[in-house]
Amino acid sequence: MSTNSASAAPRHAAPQTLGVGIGLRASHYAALSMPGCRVDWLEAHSENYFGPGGYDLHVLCALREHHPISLHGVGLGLGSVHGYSEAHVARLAALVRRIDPVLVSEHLSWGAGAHTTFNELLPLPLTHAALHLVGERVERLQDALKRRVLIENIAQYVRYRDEDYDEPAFLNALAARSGCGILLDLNNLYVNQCNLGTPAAAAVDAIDARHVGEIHLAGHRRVDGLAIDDHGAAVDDAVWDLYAQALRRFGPVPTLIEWDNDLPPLDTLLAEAARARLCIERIEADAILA
Amino acid sequence: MQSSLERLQADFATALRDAALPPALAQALVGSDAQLAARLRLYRGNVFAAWRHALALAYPVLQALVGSDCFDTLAERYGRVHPSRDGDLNCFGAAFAAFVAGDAATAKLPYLSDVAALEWLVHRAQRAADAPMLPRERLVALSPGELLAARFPLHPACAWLASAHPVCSIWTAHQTHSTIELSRVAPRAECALVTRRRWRVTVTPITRGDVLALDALRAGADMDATISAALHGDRGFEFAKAFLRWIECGVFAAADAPPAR
Repeated sequence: MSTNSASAAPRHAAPQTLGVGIGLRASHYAALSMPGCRVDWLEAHSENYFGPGGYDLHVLCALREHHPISLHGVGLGLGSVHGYSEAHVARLAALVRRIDPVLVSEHLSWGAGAHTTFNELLPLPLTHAALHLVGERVERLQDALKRRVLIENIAQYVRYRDEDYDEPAFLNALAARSGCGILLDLNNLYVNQCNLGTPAAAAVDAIDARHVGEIHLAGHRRVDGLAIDDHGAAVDDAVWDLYAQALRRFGPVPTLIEWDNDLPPLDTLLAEAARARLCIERIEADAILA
Repeated sequence: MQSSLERLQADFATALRDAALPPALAQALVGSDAQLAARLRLYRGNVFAAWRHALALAYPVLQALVGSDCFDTLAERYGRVHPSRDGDLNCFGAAFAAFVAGDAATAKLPYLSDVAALEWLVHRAQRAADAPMLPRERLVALSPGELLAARFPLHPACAWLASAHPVCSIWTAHQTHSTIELSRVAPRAECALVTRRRWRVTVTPITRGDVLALDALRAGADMDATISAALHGDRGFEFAKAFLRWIECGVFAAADAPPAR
């Protein structure tokens, strides 16, 4: 029997009790395969596994035997008026069938023009028209994947003047309309607060708790007075504060430690994950005492 | 009629491609022109950095040959002429070899383009579909007549090219633990075979006859016609040696291999 078949997958915990995961990066493949390496779940960038075969896909198929997997897309561009690719959706659907992930997510962004894909998460004006476009795309995506997807708020460096919604209201409306969940990236909220003045704590308060399916924690760096969301550092103290606030509002939502640039040894990521797990335990203890 | 969202994205795309900030976009965004120009520069930098990074992953030997600065310049120019068309950056760079051949900075080093072409075959082989190899036992059991009439499917990762330059030696000299020294590579024509056994992609020097034979195999020829095609263009073609090389390298997939996804 093939070890890659979906039917051989272990029964994973319900998403709400997944705990704290880390991003799957190629330089950690070996360390993750060591016996005794404890990580609650792994999040892979979907596009890195779009090829029909090869080593990366082989490793992902091996890891899914022992870890719940989340597939996180960075390249679909749900809000692109032109250049939206149904072929991309089909490749994602094939990967979802093969991996049977516990979570699937994408971003609230656009990324392509008529003749170019920018491979960057570009900001959408949060208008009725954008909600209509993204809402339809999310509905079709969920039909193609036969499951709910989570949509993530992005870090952005410019803001539109004329919008019909602020970000929490847009995400709430998108979730209510399409049935998708919200992946709330707290570092992105904080980076946007630094660069654009949009208040992060107020956003956490305004997000509808029923829709939140995952939280992202990551680091950023400061360049020329700007906060750059480079996923290249430890989680900032201000973001940990937002995390405590978010846990109180949303409960123990599956949480991811995201790190892409200047990737440290796996132990550093596991230590960040342990810190997040401690936050969850503290909130749960508080809840029992209250 | 263009919707306002469509117009906005078209203007944003223009700002990412050119340094200019379209007035309509400046009006649609919060901030002074100077501030917006800086922020859009950041986005433009991210886009080109992502493209450059993708090319560097696919073309490490080319980068080593021309140096990082020249490579970055090439990557930037390539991105302008052949921008990405796919949300999967592994697909970016398919036309890089042709671009390098025509670029003024690299056209005077004609081997660079062929090295790039070889690296793209290696890059594609890394993510090609998995398939079991044709087992050697199956081949030994064949009578000569059966072998001549046989048609073997090529492995999905198998690819090859013929070059007027020593591409195989240059590529191999850049691999760790290589026994080939770049400074000792003699100018000569070389043909390269790219295969993947399990997960490891290898590049093997092959003859002109191998290339003709592999072309025939890809076109669906049986072994009889394959050997004829090779002998036709390469009088020195030695089938027994070549066949052994193909099997060793993993050129063939098992006939009953599951079809590529």
